[in-house]
Amino acid sequence: MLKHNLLLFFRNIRKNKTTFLINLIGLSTGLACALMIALWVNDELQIDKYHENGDQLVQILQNLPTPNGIETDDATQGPLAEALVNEFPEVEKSVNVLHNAWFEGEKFFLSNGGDQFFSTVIHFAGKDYFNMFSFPLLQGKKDQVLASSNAVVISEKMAKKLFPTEDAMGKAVEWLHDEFGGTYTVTGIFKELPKNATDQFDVIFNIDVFIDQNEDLREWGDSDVQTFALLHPGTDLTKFNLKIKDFLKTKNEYFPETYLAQPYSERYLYGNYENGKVSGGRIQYVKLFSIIALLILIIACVNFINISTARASTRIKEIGVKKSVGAKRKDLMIQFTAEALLTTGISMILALIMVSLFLPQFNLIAGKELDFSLNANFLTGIFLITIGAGLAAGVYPALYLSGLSALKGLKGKVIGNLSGSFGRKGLVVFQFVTSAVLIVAVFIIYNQMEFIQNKNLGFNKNNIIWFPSGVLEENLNRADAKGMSSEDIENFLQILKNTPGVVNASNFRHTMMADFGTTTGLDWPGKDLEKDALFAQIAGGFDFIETMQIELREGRTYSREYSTETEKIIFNEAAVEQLGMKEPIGKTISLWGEDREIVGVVKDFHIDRLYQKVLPVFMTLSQGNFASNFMVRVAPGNEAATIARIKKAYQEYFIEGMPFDFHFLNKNYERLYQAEKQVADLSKYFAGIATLISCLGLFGLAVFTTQRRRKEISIRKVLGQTATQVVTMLSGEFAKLVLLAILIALPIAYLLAENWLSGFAYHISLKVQYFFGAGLVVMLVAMLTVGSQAFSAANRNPVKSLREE
Amino acid sequence: MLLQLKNIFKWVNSGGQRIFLLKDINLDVQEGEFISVMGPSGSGKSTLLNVIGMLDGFDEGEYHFLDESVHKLKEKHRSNLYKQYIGFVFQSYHLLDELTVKENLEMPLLYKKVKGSERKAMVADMLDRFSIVGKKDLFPSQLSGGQQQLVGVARALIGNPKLILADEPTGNLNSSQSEEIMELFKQLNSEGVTIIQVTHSEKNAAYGSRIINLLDGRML
Repeated sequence: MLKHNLLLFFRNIRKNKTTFLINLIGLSTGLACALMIALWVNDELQIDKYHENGDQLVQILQNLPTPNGIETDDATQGPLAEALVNEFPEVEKSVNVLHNAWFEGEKFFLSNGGDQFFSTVIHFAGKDYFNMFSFPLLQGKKDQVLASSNAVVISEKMAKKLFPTEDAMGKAVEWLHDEFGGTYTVTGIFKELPKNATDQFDVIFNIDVFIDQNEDLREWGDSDVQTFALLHPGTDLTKFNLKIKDFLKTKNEYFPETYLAQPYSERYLYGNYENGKVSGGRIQYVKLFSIIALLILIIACVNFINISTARASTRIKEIGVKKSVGAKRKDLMIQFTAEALLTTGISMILALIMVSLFLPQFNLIAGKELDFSLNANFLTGIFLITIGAGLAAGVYPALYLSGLSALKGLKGKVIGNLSGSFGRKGLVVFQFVTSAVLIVAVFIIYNQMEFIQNKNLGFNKNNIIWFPSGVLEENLNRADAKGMSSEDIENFLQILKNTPGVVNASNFRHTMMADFGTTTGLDWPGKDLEKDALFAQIAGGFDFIETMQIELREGRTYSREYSTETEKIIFNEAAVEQLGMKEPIGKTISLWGEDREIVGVVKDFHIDRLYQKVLPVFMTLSQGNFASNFMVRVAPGNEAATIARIKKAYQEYFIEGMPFDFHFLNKNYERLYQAEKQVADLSKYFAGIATLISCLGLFGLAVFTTQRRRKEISIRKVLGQTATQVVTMLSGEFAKLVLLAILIALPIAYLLAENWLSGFAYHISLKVQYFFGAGLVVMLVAMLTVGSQAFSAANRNPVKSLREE
Repeated sequence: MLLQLKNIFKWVNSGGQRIFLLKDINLDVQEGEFISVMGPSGSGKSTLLNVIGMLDGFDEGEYHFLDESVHKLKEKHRSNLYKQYIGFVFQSYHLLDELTVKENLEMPLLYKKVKGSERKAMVADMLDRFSIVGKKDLFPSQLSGGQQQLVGVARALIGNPKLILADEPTGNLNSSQSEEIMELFKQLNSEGVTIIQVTHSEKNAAYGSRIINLLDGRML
């Protein structure tokens, strides 16, 4: 029987090549798409999930009530880790960790004592770090590697760089740094971190090294580190959260912050917080893409269903004859379902080939390093998807075809089954609704991305490069190396400014890219003590405002002509509004207990992502090592030559072994919206593919319909209908369906778009043309698909068709 | 008795009117009979044949087939019954175009769950009996009408049915081909197979042992 069915399957393919090809292309494209999304989703779901004690590992976050609602932040106090272990029986272990990101772009350089320096990403962590996180150690014991304060644990790769010819274990490593510089001993080497770890670092030091230089962290007043805790198995997180919520009050009843423990493995996907509670995050994109994958797969299956049922006439005799010799409905159902499964199976093979071809491209867009290895999980997944899609595509046609009556089959009558064609039309409408929604989505995402890129940020991000300072010759190999003094910085700035092609230059603490400090430590006359007014803070040197081309509203900027500039402060408009001052220039406010005179007010500018409203910002002058990133505005045109000159100056001013790592500020800005960019790019492809598959189905139906109506068309032509009228008539039928789909799709798209855009404080307004544009695109593509068929049908010689009948 | 129809009525409702396709049909068929059903177009010949073949239902009356009351049987049992005892021959042969002669013959056996080796033997037997061994690997489109119908009859016979129902088996054939098929029927009948055929041709009807005439759904 199997052989018989296979035989029929393959001979039917030979007979109906077009149908099979349409099914094959549609299904395999759909499957390839779904597979790639599945790989992506799987990868997203795996991130940070490999820690052995992952279900017990939590991170402690802080909720801070502010006038804008509760802000959730991952910075915590230094004593917290120890207190958790001592005061909560649920906590087995706890460590503080300080990430490289805290240093806001500062670069760290290690050497093996020689004069070659390697830029590294560093972490500081408490001694139980390797006991809690499963980063496998190649050398060294988990308990001991971070036990002493001169210990350093380095990655396999770093060990090879620093000590290419010998075993790094026990060797001395030099760290060039004004605060933490000195000699450390390698106590352990860890294996390369898995790619699906969000924490990526080359080197890890004992956190005491950091705390020794930042004594404030021994008290409960400062939040800088991140605190992780390993809970005892079986701890109820909800109850634990209730217990720790107000723990900080027991240390100081005036501290407004409360604690929130979130499973560490969840943080990547659920990284957004609202009102002190976890509220989604990347998981939304994961869900969105899962839905898109499913929709594309359904669209592909719909093609199969539509074409199979529409072409029932080609199988009807077979059904009739088989029933008359005693085939039961079940037998036929099995046969037709098996055919669908077989088609899906062949499509899956094709899809796998497509995936292997397009995966590198997909990785490029999605920013991933996905690959597919034929392991058991993957094969099971493939198998299940094939069966699932095969059944989805095959069961309805099987039910439909096997239910046709034997008698009708023998008479060769295709039932003018109204419900069948109604269902078919419904499915076509569904396909085009999906396509139209996706196309609108692409229009809107692209326009929003464009809007973000071109939005006037209040400063000019173009033609700016920035780079961290290097190490001065005099500091080489000195444990007590001092960082750059204000003279060092000033001298280098002069060199930069004298470099041809440089318009302006300044030193800066931050990077202008969603990177700033926040504080509530401002006092001024008339402050509403009920409200904990939060300000963003940035610090930079002279010419900073000029270099960034931030507009001055009143007063002045910092100037070398005055000697007490570090006691002054400059606000933006939003900050002045928050202060509630009418004429701020010359007034004095208190920052962290020190008086500062307001000398200038600049116009609002965006330092945070555009999800947020413009923040109240103040700027202080900082000339020392604290602000040792250099921002350089270069003249447009010939940037490459200018940058080469800057590089030369850099390597002359600092020691020679320093790598010159510079960034374009506008590239950094693009990276801020990388996730959105990826979504935009991927949506474009998915919308295209969904439309393509839908049209493929429409094409199949059009071929079939024109074939079936050939006689009708011939009679109409004989009776005097023109070819144009015939084309209009044939296309019109499909046009109605597509139009209906567009009418259904547009309101859905509108709601989705509004929802997505509401996440941005600054966004495009929804214009009618996005929607009608998308509708037009869908209609045009659909009509081109159908039109070709209609046209060829209309131009056939009617006599020929009638004779055939 | 092979089968018995008692007061069979079949109708369709059209525009509030009941149109009878079969009206009060009473028919006893003994094993070994060769019956020809005749009548003008639309008189209900094919409908009667389909009712007997259980491909079509009826609205009133009783139908007994080998002691089974067909009117009380469920679809599944009915299909088991005709699968076992009835073979069909069609005017337009209804061979499956995608299958070769051999595969067409084999097809009914698949649904009777006959084992592979046995199937082969039965097909070979049938090819032999109808002298079409040389054509076993040809597709229907490569055969003449007469040859196709020969295969059609062979396919009807392969399950060893007690009853063959033939709906104008020679309607698409020329006279010499017709004659060949009718001779074949006669021979089968003499071997004990009961045959009911629908025909327009007096000459073909004469091959039968009994003629039933229908007019407007009624037996005359």
